[in-house]
Amino acid sequence: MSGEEEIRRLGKTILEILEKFGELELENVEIEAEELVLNILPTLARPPAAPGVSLEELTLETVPFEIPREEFPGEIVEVQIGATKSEGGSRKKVIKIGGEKAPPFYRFDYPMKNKPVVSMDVFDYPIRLPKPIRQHFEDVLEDPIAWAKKALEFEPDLITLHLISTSPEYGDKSPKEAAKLVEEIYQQIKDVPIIIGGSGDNKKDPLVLEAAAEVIEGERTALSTASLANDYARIARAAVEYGHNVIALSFIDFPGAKELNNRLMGEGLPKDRIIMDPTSAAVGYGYQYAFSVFERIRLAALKGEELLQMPISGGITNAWAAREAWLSQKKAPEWGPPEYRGPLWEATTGIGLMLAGCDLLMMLHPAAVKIVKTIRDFLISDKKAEVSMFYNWVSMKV
Amino acid sequence: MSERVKPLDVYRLLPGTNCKECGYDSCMAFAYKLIQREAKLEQCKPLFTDPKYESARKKLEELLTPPVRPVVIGVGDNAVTIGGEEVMYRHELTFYNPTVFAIDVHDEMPEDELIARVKRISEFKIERVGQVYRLDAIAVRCTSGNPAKFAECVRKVVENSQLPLILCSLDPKVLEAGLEVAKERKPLIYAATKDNWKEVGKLAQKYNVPVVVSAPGDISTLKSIVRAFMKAGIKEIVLDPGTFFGEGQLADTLDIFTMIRRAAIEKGDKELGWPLLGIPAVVWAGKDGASLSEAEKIELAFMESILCSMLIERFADILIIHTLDTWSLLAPLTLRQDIYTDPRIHPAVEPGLKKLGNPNEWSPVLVTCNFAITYHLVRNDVEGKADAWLLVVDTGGINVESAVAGGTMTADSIAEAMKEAGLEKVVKHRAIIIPGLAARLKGELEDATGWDVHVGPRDSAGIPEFLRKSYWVREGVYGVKSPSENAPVVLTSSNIKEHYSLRVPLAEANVSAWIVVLGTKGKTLEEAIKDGEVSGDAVAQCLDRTGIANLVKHRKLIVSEDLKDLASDIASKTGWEVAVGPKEPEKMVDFVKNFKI
Repeated sequence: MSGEEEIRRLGKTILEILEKFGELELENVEIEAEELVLNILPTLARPPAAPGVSLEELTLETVPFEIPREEFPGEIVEVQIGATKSEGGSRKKVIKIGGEKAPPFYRFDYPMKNKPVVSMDVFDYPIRLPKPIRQHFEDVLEDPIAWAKKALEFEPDLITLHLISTSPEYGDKSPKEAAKLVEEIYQQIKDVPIIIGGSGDNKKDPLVLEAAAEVIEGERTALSTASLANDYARIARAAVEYGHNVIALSFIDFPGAKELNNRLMGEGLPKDRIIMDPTSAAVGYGYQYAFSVFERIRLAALKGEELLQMPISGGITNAWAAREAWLSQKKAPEWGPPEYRGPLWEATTGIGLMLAGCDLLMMLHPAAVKIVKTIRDFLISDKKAEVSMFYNWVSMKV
Repeated sequence: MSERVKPLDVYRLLPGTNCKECGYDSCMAFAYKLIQREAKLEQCKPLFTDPKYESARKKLEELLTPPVRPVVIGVGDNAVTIGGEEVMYRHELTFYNPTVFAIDVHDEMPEDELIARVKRISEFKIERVGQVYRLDAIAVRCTSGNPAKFAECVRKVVENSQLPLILCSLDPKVLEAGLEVAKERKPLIYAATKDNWKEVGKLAQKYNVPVVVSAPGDISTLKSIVRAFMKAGIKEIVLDPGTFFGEGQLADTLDIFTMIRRAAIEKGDKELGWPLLGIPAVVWAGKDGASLSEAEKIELAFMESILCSMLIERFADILIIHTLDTWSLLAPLTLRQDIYTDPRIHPAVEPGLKKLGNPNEWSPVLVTCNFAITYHLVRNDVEGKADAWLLVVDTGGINVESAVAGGTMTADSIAEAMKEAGLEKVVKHRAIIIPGLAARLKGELEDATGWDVHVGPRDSAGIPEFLRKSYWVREGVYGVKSPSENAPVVLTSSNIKEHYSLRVPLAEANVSAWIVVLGTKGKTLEEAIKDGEVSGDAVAQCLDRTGIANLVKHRKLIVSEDLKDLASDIASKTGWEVAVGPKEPEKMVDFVKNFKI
């Protein structure tokens, strides 16, 4: 018994030696190696921490870190939305997006030339909105101009008027009637640029956007949207003739996006008058396809693909297609209140796609707009991290 | 940019004997599978048994180690692997090991609160379209500074949860006390800094556990410590380059995470080729839990959630999170699921007619796209709640809204799919339900097919309720076989079966007629009569609303035997002559056919 104990003690000493020197030299020790192994196995059985130098012998070397900068041959064009009086429009402020020389927010490659911008959606029809959004616009749903003014209280960078009442589903208003509203909103609201959107009806949109383009000639709006499924040429020609931009809609389709840009330019539309909408999707509802098509487009553009060197726009409002955003607490008690869930879903979708290259975010919920703008500003600022406070999280009492 | 390893690079080092022991036909096929990470090197037996391959084996092991090395935390079924990534952008290959969510507890929490929190973390479960989301680990923070107290807390966590642990303290004594209690669980220890690296490194060696190397905002120091650890033979390292939240600070965080990952993957920096730890919990630092208002807590949980999602997109392999509210965790958990989906798998399902539950010839027919996510959502929403047919239209794997806008879901493409599925033979009715997001196709689809098109809900979650509460024939007049102003007029209920079991055979027998549908909300005549909802007045109002009087010259109404007792009331209230036909649809067809106006 005592012999065993001795060996155990020896084993312990060996462990200590091991810790100190990392290597074991059994000089002047006369015991059976098998016995030794048997006794120290319980603690030594794990894979040996080694072959290596003892930590005790090491000192911290100074290791310089070279910033792994990448120089990209391509550059995104800068697109201006809105025109001031001196530029032939009536806007007090214009928006510039694009101009990137590096992947989104890779400041160590290149600081972003223009920050991503947030537009708030306004509809010319009392569309059915999820409750968390509806409660903010309840009193203005019937009046698009009042709606736009209300939206501006939440300080978006710009707004988008969607002329959905031109759709056969929502009243089938004529292009002429729609254009009248466009003229009026431009007269009443001059602080920010206003993007003009159709209803998504492939037959009607080109006619509606053309009529709208004409009545606000020179305002440099963005006509939303042209796609391979509608008469994109007509929209492109209207943009050229009346001095506007075009939002080019493709459907999670890398070659399709390229093809559409090519055709739009073939109609005489300059490259810096095109914004791409490769289609957004809500988190949980195909978000990854939007995320990757945004990333692919932007990386290809930076690597030199000229037909994709346009800023990217995203319909972040699509986040509300997710039932996680709007389903009532009664129906989904385990998910928590939709008042938080909804705007969080929209903000997550927006910020996520912003990190993938989205330059223009079309959004709906005031709180989501605020969060996205806050995060955007956090990401643009040059203020440095406060390193000294960092470890406070370990001992915080929350 | 560094290139990914090619199959040929691997093939050159394999025995080249095509012995098939690995389970593949050739060494080249095996090489390809190794690159795809679908096979393991150990499957090549000769490499491990024949000494002449030893140097090749070592080279292969080196070659096949991903630029971000994998680290395992925990033991057994609950162990998690982090890192092991090969690309910066998921479309270049795929991301492999989903970001681990570790939720914090601390050693000064009252015992009941601690145990309740540990249980909630361990039992947390959200089911979503066939996926189950769980939380993966528990981070135990030492706020007391007392090793014994910390050890006691770790003990309670270990007793109440099987999840892997992260032990968090900058004091090696505290960490050691925790390790003594939890060593069998192979916890991750946090953290080795420039001030304590030797002691913490020794703990990692002594207990053989993975260790976090931490150097907030200072990649150079991070590399110094990692270099020393690698020299000392430490095999599992996690990097904490600091997570900062706030103006400018967030930008620094993203920059640092991105630079480290790019250095590891594209510049071959082995010291930075370890998994990254992100700490969204920092948004709570400096706050006193007791004095925080509800509104402040919500705002912090909101920001923490956003920070989780951003860090997932910016290469974090493991996160330490404070919030345990589902509403806050649901978005980043879902985003993680999305980002880690293998992009090599095409998001489309086979188009065609599918069964939801156990449908028969009278079951409703739903239309959807062949985007896999939509398809599974619909299936998930309907199965178990209703039996139906699901007509999956080939939209090229994109969702309904985009497919309608992009022209891959049109009236023609749906009509084509109906034809290919032989829908006319499968069901006896002629009603089809299109998604709410495709509402604009209704008119064209009716023209193209002659079927009655119903617009379903915009979200498939509403389908079961839609089927219960609004799926029936709309009140109105329906013409069969271009009826003239002298064609007979028949009254039916709005019940799908009752209505179409007359209407379809009439058309097939080539009988021209007008069918007036009484608004019975899906009830059969018998049911509606029993509920007292059918009367002479009701029928009179129905005839008025439908405007049938303008379509025919005569005033003769055929009703089924169900209405026998009400026939005279109907006649007196409508002023129409009422003819009572048989109850059975097949006999009614003959009755209508031979009916003389």
